[in-house]
Amino acid sequence: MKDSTLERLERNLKAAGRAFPYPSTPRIADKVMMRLNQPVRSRLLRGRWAGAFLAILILALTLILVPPARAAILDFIQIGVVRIFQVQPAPIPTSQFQFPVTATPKATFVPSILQLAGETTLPDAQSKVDFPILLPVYPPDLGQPDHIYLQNAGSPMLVLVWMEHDRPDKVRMSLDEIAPGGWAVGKSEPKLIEETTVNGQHAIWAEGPYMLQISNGNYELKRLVSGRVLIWTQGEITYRLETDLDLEEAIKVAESLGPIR
Amino acid sequence: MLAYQEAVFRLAYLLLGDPDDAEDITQETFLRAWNNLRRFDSARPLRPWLLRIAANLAHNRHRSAGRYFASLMKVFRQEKTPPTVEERSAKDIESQQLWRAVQHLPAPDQQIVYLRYFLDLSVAETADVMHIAEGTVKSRLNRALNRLRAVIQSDFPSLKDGLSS
Repeated sequence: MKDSTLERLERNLKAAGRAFPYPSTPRIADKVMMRLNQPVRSRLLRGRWAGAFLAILILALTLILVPPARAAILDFIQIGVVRIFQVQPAPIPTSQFQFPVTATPKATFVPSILQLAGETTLPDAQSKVDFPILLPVYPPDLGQPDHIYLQNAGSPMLVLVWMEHDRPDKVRMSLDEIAPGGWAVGKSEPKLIEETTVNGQHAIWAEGPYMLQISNGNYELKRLVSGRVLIWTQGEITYRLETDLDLEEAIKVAESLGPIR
Repeated sequence: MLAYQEAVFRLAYLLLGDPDDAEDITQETFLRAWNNLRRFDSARPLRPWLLRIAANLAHNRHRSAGRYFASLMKVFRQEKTPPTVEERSAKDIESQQLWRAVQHLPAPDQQIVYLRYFLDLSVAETADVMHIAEGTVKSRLNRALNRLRAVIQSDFPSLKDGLSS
């Protein structure tokens, strides 16, 4: 039987635990993500350890597919400027078709990609962005995009849209080319997330429906995406391909990107 | 991460007594967890596993010479004035003193006291963190409490009153 002094000591310790003046817990998520991303390049340069580290990295990326652990450890997965959040989608705001530029970001719901502001031409877009615009040459019948939108608030984001040949009102595929800078693209809780590669580089495959949110301080745009999306980076540019194709075909599209002909 | 960072940070702080070190350990804990996900049984709760990683990292940090020199440098750099007695509540003072008393215990005793009482883990969770049986948790707690009582009686006279009826 426990003596009364020990019982009082237990009570005192529990009370001390409740009253303890802990320092405030720092927010470490961003720092951890930075450390997960940054050491890759430097460690890759360390000769004989490169292979071993790469193997561990690939394994860690593969293990992202373990849903309970992944969801608990990371609140989001990031590739380029795109973050995929493991949270319930926010409620859809009421429809507004304008794309306002305001000092205070206000979420705007765009029912279709074709209602984006900033429609332009390829030559005009190319003259306004610092990076070479790349276009896919697969599938062979794809041709040039039917619509080109340039969102250029701070840093440019290009949205290229191809329509079905026999259904000019139906979007066949869209490709976002997003320069680093102010843009942040998030999507809330896609049904499926899969790790893959494009040209040997880390890529993410997500399937909707999910809420896509794009913001840069002035804009905040929301769109419900029901299709499939492949996200990858090449140099400093983040690419986001939205399509009905399967993963294998989407990768072929992604790997077919080349300069405008 | 948000759901577990507070418990991990607090345990690291209790074990190391320094918020910067505790933050380092917290970051390192999540990095280690990420890199060792394949070893984690997803059917089990995550918190005890994270706390075990944090405790091991804190233990290693405690033993490193680097930490000793780093703390010396920190004292030189900061020289912060500790809060006055008036600035701290009586409960704060008592809990801090109890913490100081716990720091006189051997490391395994400290860990079990922090987990069970300060972080308020159940006996089962404490057992999971320390990789020992629940019965062993109870016996080790009993031993730690006896040692702590002896420490209080010899070195912390102000806490003695709290033990008498």
